[in-house]
Amino acid sequence: MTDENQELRSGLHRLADAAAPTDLTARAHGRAAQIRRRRAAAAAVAAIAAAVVTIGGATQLLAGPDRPVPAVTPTETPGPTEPSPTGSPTMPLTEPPADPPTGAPAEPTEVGGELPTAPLPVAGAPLTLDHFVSPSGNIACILGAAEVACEMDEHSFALPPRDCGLEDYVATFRVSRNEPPVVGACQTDTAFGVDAVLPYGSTSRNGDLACQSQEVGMTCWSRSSGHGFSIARGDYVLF
Amino acid sequence: MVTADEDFDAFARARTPALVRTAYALTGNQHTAEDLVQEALARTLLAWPRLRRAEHAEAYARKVLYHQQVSWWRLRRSREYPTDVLPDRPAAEVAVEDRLDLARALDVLTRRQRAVLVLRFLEDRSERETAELLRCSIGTVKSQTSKALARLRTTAVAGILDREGRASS
Repeated sequence: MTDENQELRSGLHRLADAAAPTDLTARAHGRAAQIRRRRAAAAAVAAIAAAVVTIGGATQLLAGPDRPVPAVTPTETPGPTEPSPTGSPTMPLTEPPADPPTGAPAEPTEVGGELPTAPLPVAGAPLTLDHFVSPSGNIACILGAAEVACEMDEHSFALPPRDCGLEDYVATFRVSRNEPPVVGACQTDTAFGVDAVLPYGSTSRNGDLACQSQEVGMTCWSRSSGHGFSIARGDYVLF
Repeated sequence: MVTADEDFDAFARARTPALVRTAYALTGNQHTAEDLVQEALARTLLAWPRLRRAEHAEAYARKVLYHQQVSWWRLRRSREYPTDVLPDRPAAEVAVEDRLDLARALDVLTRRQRAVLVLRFLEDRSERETAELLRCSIGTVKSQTSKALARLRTTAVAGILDREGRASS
């Protein structure tokens, strides 16, 4: 090890020695309880959303082909410029992934399903969260009026190469009102650390921009242009 | 019979000082370091049934620590915190000044560069271990180390010039 490295090593040890000793056991229990409550609330919202979809489907089945009943439609009517969801049905909500193997974190994960490739219909009144994380905590989004940007903490896909110099290259996905989506950013703002969670099945909207959280991943889009992105730990789609 | 909670509490009390030490080197701030360790311990507690062998728990907690630091860094570094009160320990004035210089120099690094330096030079991890913990390639560890050291050199020189300028004025 060079003298310079040895000096840095000693310096880091001196810096670490400045930490005041403390007992964080009680705080850890409190935070764990908070995370448990948050997960339970997200699971309850997802269960209610799934039940609403099931009841809607059953109503249509009972009505039969000769007994027209009002169709269960999203409460958000697309405006004149709202792009059609390409005729495809709403992405089905998939089952939450099975428990991870021993030793892995017991976190929900946005993996395992086919990602949406178009704007999604919105069921119910959209939320108005402008900073939020996914229920798994792996995706954090800033939903501005002019641009929405989501960042991923962990991902298994490769990002397009980009030179960020001395800065970090961050797995960020952005779409603005009238521009196509962009992948990757050098050192940018982040919503990681905020407490607001966008539960699975819920949509948040800010003007023309919207994001919907699903078990399969997070989808954000511009209602003006129809451009957007869907992201999950294992893959991403731009549209 | 020892319950799972008691088991975890014993682990947390025993390992918190070491975790806070690492977290302090990662953040340079007692408040953020404690928040980071609190989060790491909370997530370790949630995974405790599967992590009861202590060495797994420690490894898991440290992994969470590094990943949380990477996630929180940019959000929190712009926040203002009350000035840290240094522990009341006998220390030469020059050593405190050196420590503050290093803390300032580390502050200009990116989160990943700082994590790489802490893993390599504080925890004495190999390049391979560092890459595994940060989920990146060994090449990235090498390049980030090199960039971080270059940046530290520049900042350290600037700090010395600044200090000399203050002394001569």
